[in-house]
Amino acid sequence: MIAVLVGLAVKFRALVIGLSVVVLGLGMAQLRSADVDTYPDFAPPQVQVQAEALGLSAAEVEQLITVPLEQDLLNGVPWLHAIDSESLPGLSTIDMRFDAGTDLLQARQMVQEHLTQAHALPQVGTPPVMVQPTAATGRVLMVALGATDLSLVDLSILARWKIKPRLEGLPGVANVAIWGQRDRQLQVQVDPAKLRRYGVSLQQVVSSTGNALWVSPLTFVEASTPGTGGFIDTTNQRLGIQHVTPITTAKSLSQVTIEDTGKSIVQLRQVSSVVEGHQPLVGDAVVGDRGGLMLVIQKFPGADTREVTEAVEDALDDMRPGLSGITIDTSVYRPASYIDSALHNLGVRALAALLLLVAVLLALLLSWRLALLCFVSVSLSVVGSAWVLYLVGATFDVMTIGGMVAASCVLVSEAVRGAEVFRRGTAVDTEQTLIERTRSTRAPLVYATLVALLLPVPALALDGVAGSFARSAVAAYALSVAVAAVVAHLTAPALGSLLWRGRAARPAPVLARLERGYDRLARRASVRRATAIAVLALLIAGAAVVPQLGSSRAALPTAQDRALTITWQAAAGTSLPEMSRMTTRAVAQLRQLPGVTRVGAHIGRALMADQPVDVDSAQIWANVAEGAPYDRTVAAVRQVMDGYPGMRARLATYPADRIAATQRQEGDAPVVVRVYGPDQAQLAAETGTIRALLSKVPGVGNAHIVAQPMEPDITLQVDLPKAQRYGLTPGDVRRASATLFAGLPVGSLYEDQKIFDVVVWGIPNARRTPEDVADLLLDVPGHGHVRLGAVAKVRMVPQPTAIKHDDISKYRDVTASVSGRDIGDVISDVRDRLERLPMANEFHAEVRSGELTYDSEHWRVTLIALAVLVAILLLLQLVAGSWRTALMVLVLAPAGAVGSVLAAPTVGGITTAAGLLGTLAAVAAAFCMAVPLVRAVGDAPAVAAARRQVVPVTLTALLTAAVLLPFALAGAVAGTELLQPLAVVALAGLVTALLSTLLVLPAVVGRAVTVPRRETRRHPHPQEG
Amino acid sequence: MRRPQVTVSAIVLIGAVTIAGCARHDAAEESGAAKGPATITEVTGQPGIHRVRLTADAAKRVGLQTATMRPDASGRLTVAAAAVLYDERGRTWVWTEIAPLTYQRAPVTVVRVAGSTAVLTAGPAAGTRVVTLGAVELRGSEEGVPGEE
Repeated sequence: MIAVLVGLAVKFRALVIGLSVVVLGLGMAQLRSADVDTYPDFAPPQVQVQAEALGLSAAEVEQLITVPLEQDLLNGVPWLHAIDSESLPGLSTIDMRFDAGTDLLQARQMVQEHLTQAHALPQVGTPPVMVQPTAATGRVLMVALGATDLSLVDLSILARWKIKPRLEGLPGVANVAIWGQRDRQLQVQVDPAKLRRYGVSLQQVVSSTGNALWVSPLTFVEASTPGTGGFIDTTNQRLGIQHVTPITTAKSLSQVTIEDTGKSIVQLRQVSSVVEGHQPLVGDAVVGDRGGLMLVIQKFPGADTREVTEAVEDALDDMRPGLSGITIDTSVYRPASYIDSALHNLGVRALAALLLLVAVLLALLLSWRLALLCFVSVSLSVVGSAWVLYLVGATFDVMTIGGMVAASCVLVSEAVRGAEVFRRGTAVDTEQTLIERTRSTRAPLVYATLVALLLPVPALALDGVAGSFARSAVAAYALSVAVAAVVAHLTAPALGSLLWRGRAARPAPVLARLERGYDRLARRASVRRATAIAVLALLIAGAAVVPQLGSSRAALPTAQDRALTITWQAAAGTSLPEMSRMTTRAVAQLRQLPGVTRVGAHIGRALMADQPVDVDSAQIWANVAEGAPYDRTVAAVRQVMDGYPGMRARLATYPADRIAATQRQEGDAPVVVRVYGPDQAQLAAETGTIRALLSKVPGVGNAHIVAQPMEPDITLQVDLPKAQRYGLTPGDVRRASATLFAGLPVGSLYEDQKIFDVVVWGIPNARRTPEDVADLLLDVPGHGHVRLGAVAKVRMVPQPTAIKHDDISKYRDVTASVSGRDIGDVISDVRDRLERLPMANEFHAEVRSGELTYDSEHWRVTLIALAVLVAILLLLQLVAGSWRTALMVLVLAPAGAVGSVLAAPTVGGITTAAGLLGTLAAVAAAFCMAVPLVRAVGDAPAVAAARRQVVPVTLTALLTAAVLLPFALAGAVAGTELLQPLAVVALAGLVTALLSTLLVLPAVVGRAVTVPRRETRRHPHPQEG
Repeated sequence: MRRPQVTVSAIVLIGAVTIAGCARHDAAEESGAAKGPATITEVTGQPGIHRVRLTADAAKRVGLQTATMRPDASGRLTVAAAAVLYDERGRTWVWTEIAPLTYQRAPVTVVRVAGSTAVLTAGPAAGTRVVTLGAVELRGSEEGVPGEE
C-alpha cells in the first residue's frame, strides 16, 4: 500500500509538488480571512422567549404571562432537554435548552409554531417574542453614546430610529440593545384634584386624548378605527384627500377640549399638564460624566467577531457626519482588540519558531536540501491542516491552536523520517530504491501515526463546556497528524526525488559525533540499570500523577482578556436613582485607578437584551490599559469594588463569566434537593422539613435552604362591600389606579418616519410616596370622588424579587455538602428517605448532584481510555511481533513522558487544558520515537538498532524543542495563555522521552526479544549502514 | 554498586513525591479583605437589629450624608423623606448615627409625607442624626445582598 502511494508520488512528482505549492499558497492567502474567536461555541442549542409588561409585578407577570406561555404553549416543543423561566417585575423570560446535536433552526421553527397561539394571552405589555439566536459569548461590541447639546430623549430618538436599524442590518449582527433608551412620549399628566374641581372624570380625559389622535390601541375609543381620507374622481383627474394632524407638540395637545363636559368648555391643560417626557425606566447607562446610552451589539453563532466589529465601526463612521454633537465610543468592550493582539503575539512567536527551526536544521544537517525537505514538510502539514479547517468553516480559537501545537511533535517526526530516507546511506539512484527505502522507513510510522490519533479519543467523551473545548482541540490535533502523514507519503518522496536526483547526501559531522557519543554511552548501559531506571520513572510518574487527578474538574484555559466585567448587586429592591448614583461613583473611582481605561456601565435591563435583571443590579465594564501590569491592576479593581458596603461585586472577563453561567446551568453543588410546588408559603414549609431530614443523613453536612430574596411590594386589594357602596368594581379600581400610577398609552403620533406614544398618566406629585397610593382619588359613577384607601386595603407585603420556574414549576433548593462517605451512597440514601416522606398535594422533590453527573462522565472517559489502551496494544503488537514487547512499549513509552507529569504542577496540574495537551504532545512524541526503534530492534541486536535511530530521534526532539521554545519562553500574554504552559509541559516530557527512548528502551526491549520475529508477507528489510 | 543506586533512587523518589505534593496548592484565593468595609454586630436585647460600623473609606465611597431630625412648626417630629426605608412588611425605619461612622436602625411611624419631609408620630428623639443618603447600602450590609448562585 505504501509502496503504491510512494511510487505514484514519485512518478507524478511534478504534479504532487505543484499541488503542494498550490495548497501552501492558497492556504496562506485564504487563512487571512478565517474566523477567529477566543473560545469555541460552548453553549448548548437554546432558544429564549421574552415578553415585556412594563409595570407588572413579578407575581403578576408569572400569573398572567409566564404560566400560560410555559404550560400551554412551550412545554410541548420537541427535543426539549430543559425549560426554565424567570418572572421579574415587567419581564418574563423563558429559556429552552435542547438536546445536544439539535439543529437550532429546526428548534426555533418548532418554538415559533407554538408561539403563533400566543394571541390567546391577556393583553398586557408586548406579545412574547423569540429572541434572536446569539453565540455563547454573544456580545461583540459595546458602543457608548454621549451628547453634549442633545437631551437624552433626542439622543434616544437618533439611536432608536437611525443607528439601531442600520446596525441590525449588518451581516452577523443578531441584536442591538439600547441601555438607557428614553422613548419620547407626550404625557398628559392628570391632576386628580383639578379633575374634581371641574367635575371631569378620568375616563373622559382618556377618551378625549385618544380621540384627538389619529390612531389609538384602545378598543373603546373611537380613534381605534381611524378611517381613510378618500379620493375624488373628476372628469379628468383623481384627487386624493389627506388629513394632516395639527397635534405635534405638547402645547397643541393641551388645547384639546374634553368630551361630554356639558355647557362649559374644559381643555386638557386645565385638568392636567401636558409635557414631553419618557417612559418609566427599567434600566440606564452610565457613560462619561453626563448620562448617555449604551448600545450592546450581539452576534449570531458562527459569526466572526472581527468581521462584525469592522462592519459596525465602518457603519458608524458612515453615519458620523449626520450625527454631529454626539460622541461615539466603541472601545468600552471590544473583544476584537484582544483577538488582534492575540494573533499578533502568536504570529511573532510562530515566526520565531520557524526561524529557529530553519537555523537548527541548517546547523545540524549542513545540507540545504535536507533542511528544505524538512521545512517544507512541516510547513505544508501546518498550512494544509489549517486550510482544511478553514474549508469546513471551523472557527480558530485557543483550543484549535493548542491542538495544532500539541501535534507539532508528530509533524516534526514525520518530516524528519521523510528526510531520513535521503540522509542515510548510499545515494538513492533509482525509483525502486527510493520506494523500498521509503516503505521500510514508513511502515512502523503508520502504526505510530495511528497510535497518535488514538491517544486523545477519551477526551471526546466529555460533556458540556469541557466537551466543546475538547472537541475543538482534538479535531485540530487529529487533522494535523493526518495531513502530516499524507504529506510524508506523497510530498516528501516527490520533493526528495527532485532534490537529490541520484546524488548522495553530504554527511554531517555533528551527527556522526552524536552517533559516536551514543556508542560510548550505550556501552555503559546494562539491562539491569535500564530496568531499574524504567521502574523508577514509572513510580515517579505514578506518584506525581495521582494527587493531581484529585482536582474536581478539568480546568479550562482563561484568556488574559484586558476587558473586565464587574457584576454589581445592591440590596433587593434598591431604586434606579440610587443605583445610578452608586454606579456613577464607582465608575468615577475606577477611572482614577492607574492602568484602568475606558470604563462604562449599564444598570438594570434593556428591551430585548441579554440581562434579565432588575434595577438593583448593574454591570460595570473596565479595561486594563496596554502595558499596565495585568494582575496588579485587576487586584486593584477588585479592592475598589469590595470596598463598597452593602454591595456585592463579582469580577471576571466576559467569556469567563459566560462559561461560569453555562456551567452553573449544568449544576455543580454536591447535593441539591429541589422541591417543586405551586405555593410559595407551602414550599417554604416543605423545604424546612427536607432540610431537617437532610441534616439527619450520615455524611451530609451544612444543609441549608437557598435563600429566596424578597423585597417589599405595595399590594392593593379591593374591599368588596366598601366598593359596592360607591358602585365601584375591582376592575374599575385597577384600571383607574393603573392609569394614574403606571400610565396608559392612548394613541400614537407619527412624525418624520418615527412613531411616538401619547400617554395619560398621573402628575408626579400624586405618585411619589407609598402613602400617595391610598390617597388616590377615584371617580365614583354618578359624580363624586372617593379615596382609594377607603375602598381597598393597601399593604406592603414581601414578594420575591424574581420568580424562577424549572420544568414549568416553582421550586426551592436545599443544598448540602458531603464528607466522609461516598457520594453515590449518600445520594441513594437521601432518595430512599425522600420516597418515604409524605408531601403536600402537587409537591414533589428531586435529588440531583453535580458531582454525581461528573462521576458518570468520569466513568465514561475511563472506559473509553481503557478501550484505547487495548487498541494501542494491538497496534504495538503488530509492529513488535510479540505481545511481551508490545506490553513493555505500551508501559514504557508513556512512562518516558514522566517529565510532563513532573512539570504539570507548575502550570496548575495535569487536569488543566494545558497540562493535558502538553502531556498528549509528549506521549505522542514518545510513541513516534519508540515505535520505529522497537521495529528495528526486532531485526538486529538492540544496540545496533538503537544506534541507527539515534539521529532521527534526536533530530525530532531538537526540532520540536526549537518549535516549542519561543512559545515556552516568551511568557503568557494575550493569545499564549494556553500555549506557554502547554509548551513547558511538552518540552519537559520531550526531554525525558528522548532519554528514555535512547537509553532505557533498547536495553529493556532488546532483552525481551527472545523469539525471532514472525515472517511477514512483505519483502525482508534491506540491511543498511 | 547496588546500594548507592538504591539510595539515589530513593532520594529521587522522595523528591518526586514532594513535587507532586506541591501540586495540591490551594488555588482558592483569600476571599475578601481581612477587614471589610463594614463590620456588623448584633445588638443585645433587640433581635434582628444590628449595628453597622463603616470604615471612613467606605463611608466616603458611598457618599453617606446625614441630617438632624427636627420638629416642625406645630411641634410634630419630622425627618427627611429620603431617610425612610420600608422593610418587607411595610414597617418604616431610619438609620440613626449612634457614634461616628456607626449606624443602627430605629423604627419610625410615618403619618404623612409633605414635600420632602415625612411627618412622624413615633421615632427617635429630635436632634438625632439620621442617614439621608446611603441608607440602602447600610441595609444591604446588614441583611446581605442576594448573591448569584
